[in-house]
Amino acid sequence: MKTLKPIALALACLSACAAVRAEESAPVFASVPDPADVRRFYPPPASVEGTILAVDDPFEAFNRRMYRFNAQFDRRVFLPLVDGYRAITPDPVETGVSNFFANLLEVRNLANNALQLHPEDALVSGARFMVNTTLGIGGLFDPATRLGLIERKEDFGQTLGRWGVGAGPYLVLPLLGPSGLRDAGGLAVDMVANGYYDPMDLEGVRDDTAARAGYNLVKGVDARSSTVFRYYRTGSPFEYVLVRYAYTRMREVEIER
Amino acid sequence: MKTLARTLAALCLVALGLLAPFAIAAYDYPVADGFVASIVGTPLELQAPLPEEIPLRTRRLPGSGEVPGLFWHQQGLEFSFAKQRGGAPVAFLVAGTGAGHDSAKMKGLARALYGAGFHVVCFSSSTYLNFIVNASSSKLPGFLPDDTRDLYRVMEQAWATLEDEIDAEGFVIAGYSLGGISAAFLARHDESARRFGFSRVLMINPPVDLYSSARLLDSYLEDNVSVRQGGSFLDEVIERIAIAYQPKHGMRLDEDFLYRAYGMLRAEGRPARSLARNPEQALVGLSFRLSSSAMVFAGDVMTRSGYIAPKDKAFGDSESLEYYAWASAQVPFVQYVDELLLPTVMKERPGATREQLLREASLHGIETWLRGNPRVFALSNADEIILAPGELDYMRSVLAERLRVYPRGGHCGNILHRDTVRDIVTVLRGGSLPAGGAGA
Repeated sequence: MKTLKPIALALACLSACAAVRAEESAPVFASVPDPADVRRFYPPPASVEGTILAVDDPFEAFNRRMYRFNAQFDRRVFLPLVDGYRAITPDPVETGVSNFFANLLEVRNLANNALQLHPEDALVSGARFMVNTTLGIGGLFDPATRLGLIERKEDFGQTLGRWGVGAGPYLVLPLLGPSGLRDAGGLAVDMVANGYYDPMDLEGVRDDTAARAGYNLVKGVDARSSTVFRYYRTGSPFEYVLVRYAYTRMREVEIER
Repeated sequence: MKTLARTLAALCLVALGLLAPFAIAAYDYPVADGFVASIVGTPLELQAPLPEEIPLRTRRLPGSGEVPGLFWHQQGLEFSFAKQRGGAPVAFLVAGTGAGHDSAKMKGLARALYGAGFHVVCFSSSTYLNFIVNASSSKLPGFLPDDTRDLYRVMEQAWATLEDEIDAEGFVIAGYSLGGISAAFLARHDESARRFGFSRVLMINPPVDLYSSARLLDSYLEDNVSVRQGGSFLDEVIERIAIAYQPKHGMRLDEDFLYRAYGMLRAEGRPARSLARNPEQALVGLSFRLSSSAMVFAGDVMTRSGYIAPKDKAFGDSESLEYYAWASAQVPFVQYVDELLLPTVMKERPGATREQLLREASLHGIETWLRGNPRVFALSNADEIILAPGELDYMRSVLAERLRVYPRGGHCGNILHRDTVRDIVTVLRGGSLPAGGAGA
């Protein structure tokens, strides 16, 4: 985790910059064809307010490049790894691995539920962590869900949103995909905090570079494996716009909830 | 008293006897509105039992031409297949408008037919981005006679990669929606090409005439929400979807995704506060517009027609497509047909009139073949939403007992219902539809 800290801090700074970013009135569309060059020209509307295009995206050029990079990385590296992992690992082991990493995140859920003043959800997160760490043998099993303690996922991006921090511009993160400045900053804080309070920290893992690399690799592959999203499967040439919109709206609703 | 009781009992028995045939024939698909049915599909407990997992594998064929940088991610034509261990008949399936080989409906059909013992091969619609980029010779999808030749060539190429590993005992072909009418055109084409010899052909909820169905679908959006409001309406749908969203559902934002998510919300009885007069009708129209706008833009770029994108436009890696996303969503599908598709087809076919071409691309164009061909079957619904008045009667008159019309189901809403799946399997195995089905 140590190596990730500089990145995390950089993201946090970017997030802070978002707050002071000046509001300027940009043209509705970054590029519009010359009416003389097309048979059907549709004059752009005065505003895209209330449409799927109404997402603040000043870094669109960077984001599109990153989206493309992620898709290529997915196809060449990530998904082959995931397929290999799924092929050699029996299903119960995969579930165990997923449970283990999810259990570590309960500390994050607990902290963020508490910061959002949702004591009940914080208690559930805490109880889940204790039950799954003990009865669930270090988090490999998830008896808490069977006991009716349903996961209450909350991250620091949501906490910031709860206290009025706007989403900020849309941002596509390397490997992690769709996000926003606020959420990227939140992620950075969660990562740094997790580095300090890593609840299951094993001394050996932290000191042994190879072991740590292996641990992070499994963690990444597990995360990709349990994410259904696949790049360029919408069958639409406008996938970037659709995904950007869907991500932003869903995130808003999660925070309002 | 005893006689009275006996008489009553006897009357009851007679009544039961009279009702019994109806009880057996009773159709239990529950959704009364054709639009709602098209969206929510079949409740789980009324679905045919299907195998959970089937060994579907995806394969890529080399594309037929150069892929523009903008569509780098579409390199190679995809199809998927699931093979049985031993010998079995092969079922070719064709997806509906704007849908891929792996759409939810295709997977449902594939599971049903694999479960019934068929080898299954799934093909994308000729209107799907991956198909347009790699396999469309005109690069402008939507003219059925041309699309048929392209799809047929893809089927031949796909089969060439499969024939050594699949033990085929004959071929059948089926499709839903646009894929349904495509299946009929493909089977007819096969009679002269003589490659597969389809023993059965099944159209599931086909249009009679793609143009008239498209006009209906365009109107469902435009009658309910102004184009300006289309975005706000989508916004509202998405907002509601987000409430019920689970990452495990993925995020494809295609028709299946929108429909399933909207269906879940309806099931939870969330209050509708919609901009649209009829939100279900608007959603059907909207999801059609989402896929037709993809088609319009892809066709325009691939052919360099200069329709909404300039002819010589080279799109960079990081270029914003926002204007084009917005502009192509303003284009009704029938406008694309009239302004871009038909004029292009007419260049190849000087002398042909607009009416003549539209007729060729409809069931009317193959009517004689349909009438005289006992191997061709169709399924439709009394409340089908993509058929204009008179079109269902037209299908009845042409196919007679080879058409079954269920009382409810909208457009493909009942496709996984046990009765539908049983009929699909029966027909493709060489049986006939239950008597009286056409009248319902």
